[in-house]
Amino acid sequence: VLGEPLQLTPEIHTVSLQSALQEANLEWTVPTFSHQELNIVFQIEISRMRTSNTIWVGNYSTTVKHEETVHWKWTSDIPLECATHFIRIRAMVDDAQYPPQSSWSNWSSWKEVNAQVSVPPDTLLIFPEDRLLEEGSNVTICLMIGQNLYNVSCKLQEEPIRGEQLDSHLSLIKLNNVVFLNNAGTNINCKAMNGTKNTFGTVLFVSKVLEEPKNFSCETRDFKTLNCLWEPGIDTTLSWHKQRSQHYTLYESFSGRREVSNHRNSHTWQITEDSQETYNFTLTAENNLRKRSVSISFNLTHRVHPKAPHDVTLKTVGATKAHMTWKVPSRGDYTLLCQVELQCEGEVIHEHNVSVHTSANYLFSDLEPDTEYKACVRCASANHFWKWSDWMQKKFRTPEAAP
Amino acid sequence: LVEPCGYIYPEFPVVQRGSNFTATCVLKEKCLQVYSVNATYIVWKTNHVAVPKEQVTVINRTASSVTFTDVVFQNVQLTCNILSFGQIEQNVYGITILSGYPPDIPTNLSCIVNEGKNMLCQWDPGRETYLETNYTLKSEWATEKFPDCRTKHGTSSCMMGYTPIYFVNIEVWVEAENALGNVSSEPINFDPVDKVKPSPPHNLSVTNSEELSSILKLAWVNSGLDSILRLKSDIQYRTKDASTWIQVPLEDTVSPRTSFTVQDLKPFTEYVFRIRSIKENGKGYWSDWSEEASGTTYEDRPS
Amino acid sequence: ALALLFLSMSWAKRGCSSSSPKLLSQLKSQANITGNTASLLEPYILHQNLNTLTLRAACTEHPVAFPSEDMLRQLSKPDFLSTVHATLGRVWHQLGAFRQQFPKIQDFPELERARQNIQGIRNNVYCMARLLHPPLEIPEPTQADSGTSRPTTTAPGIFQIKIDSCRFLWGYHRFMGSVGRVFEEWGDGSRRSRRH
Repeated sequence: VLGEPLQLTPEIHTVSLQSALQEANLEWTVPTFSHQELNIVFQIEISRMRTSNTIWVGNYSTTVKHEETVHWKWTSDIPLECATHFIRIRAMVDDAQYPPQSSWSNWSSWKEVNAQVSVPPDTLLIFPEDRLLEEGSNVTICLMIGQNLYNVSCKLQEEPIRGEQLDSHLSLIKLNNVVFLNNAGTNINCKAMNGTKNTFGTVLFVSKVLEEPKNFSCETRDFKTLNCLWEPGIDTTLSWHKQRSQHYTLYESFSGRREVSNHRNSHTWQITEDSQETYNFTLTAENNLRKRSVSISFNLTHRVHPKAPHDVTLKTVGATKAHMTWKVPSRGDYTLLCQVELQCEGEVIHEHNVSVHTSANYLFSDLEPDTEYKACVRCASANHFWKWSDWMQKKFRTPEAAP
Repeated sequence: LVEPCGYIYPEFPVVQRGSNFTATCVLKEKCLQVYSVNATYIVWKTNHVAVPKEQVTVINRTASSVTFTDVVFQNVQLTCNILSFGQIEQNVYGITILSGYPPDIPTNLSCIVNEGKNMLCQWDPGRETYLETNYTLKSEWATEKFPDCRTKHGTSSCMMGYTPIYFVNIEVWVEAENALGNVSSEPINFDPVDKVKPSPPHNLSVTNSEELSSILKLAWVNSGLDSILRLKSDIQYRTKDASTWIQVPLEDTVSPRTSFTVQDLKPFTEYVFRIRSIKENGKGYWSDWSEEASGTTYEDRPS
Repeated sequence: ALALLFLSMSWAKRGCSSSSPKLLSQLKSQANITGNTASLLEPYILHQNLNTLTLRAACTEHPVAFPSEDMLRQLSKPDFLSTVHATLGRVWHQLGAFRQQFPKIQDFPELERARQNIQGIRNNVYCMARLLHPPLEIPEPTQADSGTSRPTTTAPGIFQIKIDSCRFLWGYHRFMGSVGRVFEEWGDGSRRSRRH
């Protein structure tokens, strides 16, 4: 076990900013680090506007390799354009090879992060500009007030909103649980005086929360395609090209196939020759802010919704019998159960089930002479019922009885 | 596919009825030897019935023609057949002869704009042409051409594919075309606002008056057009059991309105009312009648 | 400019109403419709959530520079017609750019309707110009600044585009109101050119 405490003062190399996401990406190294690999906890301190004004402290523990750069990302609670930030880091070994350390290294020197924009004297800059966010989320608006402006007041649509003055030219407005208004965005507008009245503003594009697709199911009618349907839920389209309508992707895990649907609530999936019998589908809805997925698994033969029987023929046999034949769309070994019904004057007077591969027939007997009947037939999967096909019907009339 | 031994010209004839028509069958040289035939062996048939020899002319070794005068048949299969080896009849080639008339100049072109719908124009196509005849409804402003409106054979109306713009004169005409020719109707020039058929007035209500037992007050809502057009109304009424309608004089309702008081009614009697509207200057079409509404006049005060 | 107007319409030959009173009546009706803010500005305000006192005020604070009514009154009939024709041409293009603001054209049908009406007015203006047999020298119409009212250095944010668009529509309706009032003064649409 190594005894002496190590002096590992970090050195910040770069800080790159993604203002639209309010993110700062840090990269630093530990110059005096000579070990192959060591677990180190870094303490990061962030100040705003002045180094003395600390606004965030946090620890980040990671395994550092020799001459390796450490990466870390910080998301600011306010737009980075609003104020200059200062970042420094110190370290402490946190590794089993070492006895628990009690002292931090020295701080790195402060690294200034300046995304701040200059404000023309007669202008009020508002950030973030035209931000896309989800209904119910929070956002901090910052006002950067030009030196000639005074009496600044802001509204969220028509509702006054008050800010916290950080200094004479910088004010922060915290908005919690923002609400969806319509797809053209919620207008934050500010009045400011510099002898004349001016209007400044920004738009919050509040998106409805993407909903999980409901009632996702697939079925086949011909063993050639799977027709998948779902209820998409609310459309999260926003104007101004801020967010297109959410799109839907189907992923089948056994085949590894992934297909983007061209529709909001349906997709046709081709069943190939070598397709498996069992399917494991994941349907994912996605917009700019969120993904929602639902999954289903099923055996193809359990999701057969047959097409209606065809080539239905009906021949009367004497005055009291009738012989019906019909065909079904078939797939080799697949057995359908067909329900045969006989109606007279709208009332079902006879019902019978028949197992069918490709074609079938049934004899109705004990009929009344000179009477009109309607024979109906529909089919469904014999082994695993899913849905009945549509009915096929045939009207017929028995002849008069021979004298 | 087996190469035919000859061809008939013309291959896709469309013949004007009442005129004459000649077709020529030309045999291929190689077939002459193979089947030991020449043009004299050609047998013309129409719908499998031999054509009289008088109508057949042998032009040369390979070609024979057949002539039909005063053509009246509508749709005939003409075949050129040869008696190979002098006795076995074999088909060489076949065509379909269509006959009909060139389109007449369309007349009585008129248009209507049912409120909320695109403009519909119709015309009289004239006599039956017996041929596939396409009609194209053309429309133009002075400074803009609009998409053509095409109809299939047999229909003589077309609904434009664009929203009508009021207060701009538009020129409309219809072009007719089939295999025998194309013609164009006289253009009509009008403002679509003068062809409007408003939606009927709605929410017609009838209220009586305690003071005056001989009157009933009507109130209604005009079609949405009354925000841009001045509409006049036509009111009719009858007693509940009567079958004939009584007309409120049109001159009483010439100005745009949404209410009217009908007078000189019998006390304590149920009346049924209906109303329709048209552009104030009378141009365009009357709307359909509104839903009927009824009301009962107040009882007469005991004198 | 009328020469320009004719040039740009050289192929146009059929379709003009030959009656000046009818044409003038049509132009008045069109100006009446397009001068009404309910036809475009109001639906735009509702759609873009500008329907608050503050934002409505912002919409009308700095009107976009359209030819003023006084200026229109000073013009001769041919100049007036060519100014209306040219200005509406620019409005037609600007409204075309508005389509970007909506996911689908069907979301804001009033926009296409307004563009069609504008083309209708320009058609009638052209026909009226033909009836007037314009005089020879035709000064260029004043350039209507139908763009935003503030020079912007950086690309404006969506809020500013909304406000500028709103101001533009407000200016357009006011312009059409002025045009309608000038046409009202044309009387029965006789050939008399009031300012020659």
